[in-house]
Amino acid sequence: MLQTNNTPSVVIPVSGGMDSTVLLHKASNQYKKIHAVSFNYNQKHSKELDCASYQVNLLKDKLGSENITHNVIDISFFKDIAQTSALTNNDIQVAKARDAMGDPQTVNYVPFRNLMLLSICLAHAESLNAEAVWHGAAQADSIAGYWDGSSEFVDEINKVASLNRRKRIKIEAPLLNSSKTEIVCLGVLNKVDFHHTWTCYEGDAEACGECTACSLRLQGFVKSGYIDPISYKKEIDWNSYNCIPL
Amino acid sequence: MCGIFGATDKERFKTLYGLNRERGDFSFGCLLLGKNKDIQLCEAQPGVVEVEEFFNNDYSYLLGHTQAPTSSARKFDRSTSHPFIDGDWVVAHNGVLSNFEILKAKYLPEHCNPVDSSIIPVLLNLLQDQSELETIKNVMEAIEGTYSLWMFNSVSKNIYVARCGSTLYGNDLTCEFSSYPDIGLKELHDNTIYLVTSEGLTDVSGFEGNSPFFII
Repeated sequence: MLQTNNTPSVVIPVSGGMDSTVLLHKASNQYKKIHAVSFNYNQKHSKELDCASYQVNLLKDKLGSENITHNVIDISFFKDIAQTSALTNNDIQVAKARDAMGDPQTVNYVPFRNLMLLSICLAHAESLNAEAVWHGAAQADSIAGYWDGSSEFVDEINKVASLNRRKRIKIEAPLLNSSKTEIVCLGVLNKVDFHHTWTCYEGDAEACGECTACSLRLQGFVKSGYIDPISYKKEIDWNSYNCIPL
Repeated sequence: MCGIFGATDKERFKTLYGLNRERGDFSFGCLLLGKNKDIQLCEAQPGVVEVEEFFNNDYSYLLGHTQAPTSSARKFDRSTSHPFIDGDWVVAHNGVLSNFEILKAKYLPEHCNPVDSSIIPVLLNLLQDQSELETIKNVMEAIEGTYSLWMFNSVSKNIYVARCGSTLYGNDLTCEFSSYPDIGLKELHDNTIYLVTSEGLTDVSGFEGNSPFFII
């Protein structure tokens, strides 16, 4: 059945990583209509976009294909602007967790990326008359040195969005206080196919296991007691952590 | 995030301060231990150590901290600057405590300082055990996050440093430590408590750290 414009809907930026994927599946329990958005900013790890598409397609059966859309928005010009980030500049090596811990802002930070992406999501939400934007920021983002993944950032951008005179769309970040362990558990509860999520900042066939993103993901799986189903370049001795397959 | 550092020599302290400003230049804090057992404590805005009169004593050890604000508190205020004091403990910390709100709710519902680090010396008093070391271990295992810190007990005059995930380098011979690397400083072991004396940095205990990062 086709949904009318009055059906409450939500815009979700889905990177294809663990957090936004879990959020997407969580949203499918609360919203009948979802507008997923992914961004191609010429990131090294653009394979995450394939994972995003895969996850959206999985939900078509649940919600009906007419009730879940997926726009991959091309902002590849951003690579030329964000030259200080290892994610967009091939001459800069991705920061490994071992070297980057405690760094207030690692080279993995992409200048003002989230402000730009969320602004686009807000514009999309306003045009589609969506209720909210669900942002996948998690507790670890602040810890990993991303000011634009902090609760203060979300509060401030919401203040700006509230200046809108007709449609006040709120950015909600349901995972903002959740640890990676809690996110893995929430994903397991929602039967998320973690095999088709991509977190690593490197664009290789296997995840490096050492970048800040891999390191946080791995800790989430180890602490939740599950084996991460994706393959890593480095061997992880899951048995020694008493982890079980999903 | 911030930087912590310590040295027995005033000039090295200044050098380490300069390096750690890379990790935060919003405020500077220090605890200077005089050779006559007197203590000079300071929370200030950057630049204070460039004033020669600032160092007015012979010191046995100098402990410092550079702060980068990770909260919305952007206005300098001594109450939100390192080091933090509670009872006999003085603490400076680098990193983020991811379970700050949980700890507050569990142990200190009326704790009103918005800086997560401020809870550490309070916990050192609250989770007191049979020995200073056991107490520190209790606190290190209660807090979650990626951090390094120095702790000073004003009764025993002991200085401790520990790290969980965050960077911390040290030199056993010169008794120096620093969040920012420098020539001669080697990475200190993770999840380890060191006693800092004029004899060197001594590994005195391990603890079960709760870092959000998994390191291969």
